[in-house]
Amino acid sequence: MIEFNDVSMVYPNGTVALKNVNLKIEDGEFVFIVGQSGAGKTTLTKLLLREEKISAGKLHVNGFKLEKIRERKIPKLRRTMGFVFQDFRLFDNKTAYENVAFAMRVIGEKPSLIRKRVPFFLNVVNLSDKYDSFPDELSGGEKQRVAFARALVNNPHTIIADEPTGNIDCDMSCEIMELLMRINKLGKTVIVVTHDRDIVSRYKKRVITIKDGVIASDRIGGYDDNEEN
Amino acid sequence: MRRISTFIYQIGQGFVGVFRNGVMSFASLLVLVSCMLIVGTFYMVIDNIDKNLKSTDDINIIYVYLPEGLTDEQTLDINEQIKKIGEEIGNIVDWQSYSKEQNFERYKNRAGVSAKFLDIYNEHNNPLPSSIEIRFTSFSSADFNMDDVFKLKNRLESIEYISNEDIKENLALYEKVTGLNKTLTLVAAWMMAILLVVSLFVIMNTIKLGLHARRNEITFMRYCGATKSFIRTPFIIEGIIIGIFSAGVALGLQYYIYEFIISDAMAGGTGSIIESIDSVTALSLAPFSDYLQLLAAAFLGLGFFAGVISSTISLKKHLKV
Repeated sequence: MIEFNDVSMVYPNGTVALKNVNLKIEDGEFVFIVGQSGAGKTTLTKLLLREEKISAGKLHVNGFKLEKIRERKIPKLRRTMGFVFQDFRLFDNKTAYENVAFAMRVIGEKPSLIRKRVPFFLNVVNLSDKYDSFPDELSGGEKQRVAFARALVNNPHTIIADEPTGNIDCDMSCEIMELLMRINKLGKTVIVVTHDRDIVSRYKKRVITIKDGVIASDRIGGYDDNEEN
Repeated sequence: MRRISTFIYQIGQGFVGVFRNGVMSFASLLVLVSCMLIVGTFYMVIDNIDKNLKSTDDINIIYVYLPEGLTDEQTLDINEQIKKIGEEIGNIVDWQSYSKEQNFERYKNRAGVSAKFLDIYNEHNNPLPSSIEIRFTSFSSADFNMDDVFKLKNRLESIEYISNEDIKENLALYEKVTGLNKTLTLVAAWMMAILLVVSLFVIMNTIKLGLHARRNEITFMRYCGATKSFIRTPFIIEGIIIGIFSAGVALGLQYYIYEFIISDAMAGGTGSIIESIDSVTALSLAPFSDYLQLLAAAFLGLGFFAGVISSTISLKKHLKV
């Protein structure tokens, strides 16, 4: 579960990124976070990953109290989340298999477990025939699926996808969204940060709109143009 | 506890880092090797000069040549006074009196085959005086005190019948060589300090470049939940690899420098060192094996220290985890 209680975030240069945000995301929910550039979406994901520290309020993420978390516990917090970047961030010198395995390797998993789980998750994202392909041999959608396999492989509670359809075409976008739905059905909490109105409108899920650092709306269903503008 | 496979992986990543920034790694190696060679070369030169000096037979002897015409009583009185001085100052190990005849024999023996020119002399026209040789505490002894030696010399000069010209010693040589050693040590220390700082900066920059090249990888590792030590360890290993490899190269070069360059110079080949020291014609060199263990330990220590310190500073400054 993710819970924001009166959370504010002010950057050292004085920029107020979030103001008194109150928000609760239950386990297994599917949530879109929308808003214009600079609205505070990125700051919100950075707070979840404890990339930035909250300035005021209380923030609880998957059992961790982020307002007083110790530095050595931060890696454990991050292991409860899988992050998917808009630009995939795959390593060009590693195959699809190695890219996924790397996520396990960096948290010190046993090689035997890596050999077992990586093929499984590549199958989950329908890339069982692309184990040995390098990123430049994959399409945009395939790269994004590798990125999803990599986010899933450590069995996180929550998947955070930052503009997952930003760099791929419409058909691929639908495919990626279907994949996210499947991941959600596995019981994972899915948070999708996006600008893509069509996608948000097509899937009747919870949509949280952020505007100027505050929650402008929090509703089930499509996009609310009035709130964002 | 860290898995062995993880540690092996990190060592591998350390090597990857070294080769990724090959040019900078090579520059770090060159500066660090120079630093080690300066330390090693100066140390061995100073130590050899010191050992030679301390092992010189007559370096800790004061010769008192007795004037002609002294009676046996007067000679006995001088011996008594020397005994008293020894008791007071406490740095006389022993003393020995030699008659004119004994000195003539000793000189003949020392001259060896070239003693033929002494054939013109006999017991009636023997030009050598009687003497007393006073051996004081060895320079290598922990009890040695230069002030006591000067005090001894001054007291000897105050003995009746003995003038300044009758007293001979090698204190000037000792002081000259000790002074040279002090200068060499100071020069070496400064050069080492400067080069060590330079090498720390070069390694720091090598690590910084590595951090820049791997910034996406590091961000990803952080987001996956990699620990601080997991991310930092390969960079520290990179620094250690540069340090240890530099130590190996420096040790090899040091052997070459010692065996083929210092040996020639100190044996009088080029004469630069030897000519600056009066009355020493050639120095015997300790074998390189005498220094091998110490140098290996010092170079490895220096390399390890430089690698760990510079990479740690660089990580602290440039890596946000």
